[in-house]
Amino acid sequence: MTQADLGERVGATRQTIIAIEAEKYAPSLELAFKLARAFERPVDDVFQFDAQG
Amino acid sequence: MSQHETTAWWGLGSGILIWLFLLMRFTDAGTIVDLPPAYAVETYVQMIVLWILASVVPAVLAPKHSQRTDKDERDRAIDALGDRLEGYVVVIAINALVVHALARATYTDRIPSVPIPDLGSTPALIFALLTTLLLADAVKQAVVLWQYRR
Repeated sequence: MTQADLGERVGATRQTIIAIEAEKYAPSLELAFKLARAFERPVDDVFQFDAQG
Repeated sequence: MSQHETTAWWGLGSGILIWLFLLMRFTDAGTIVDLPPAYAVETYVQMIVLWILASVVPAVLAPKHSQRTDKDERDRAIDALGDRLEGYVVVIAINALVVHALARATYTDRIPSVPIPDLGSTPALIFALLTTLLLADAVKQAVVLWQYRR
């Protein structure tokens, strides 16, 4: 799956997918769940919360 | 580069060009000239038309039915940050103009050597206010570009 395909599936641009991958943008909860659903994984398999920031 | 980033570059560039146009019309050798009212109105209308055209062109040139033109949550968050900082610039600039006017009214007579430019004339006031709007818009576009590029 390309970044553009993933973006289209979750309603985000390819640039946003790139920014999330590079940890330059923290997605909303809604987008995080959509991304997890696109990968058919639980959300905390896809995103890890780092309390240190 | 996303469509929104391209639009921000366009907005920044066109804003600078519009300000240079105002500078050309309102000033002579760095001093604000006393424009005849008809000429000031003509300049104002021309500026509005230029600003509208500059805003419309990126939308017209954008690829139709492309996902690249739809704003997602990151684009909207970036826009919101830009709008907020644009608002701050307007508030700061308007307050600076008020303080400037008060300082001039208060101190020019007492300390004639203090070089406070006179914004009391209509062209000077128009130029200052339009510069404020263009500056605020330029800050917004710069913040948007910074957010996309960081």
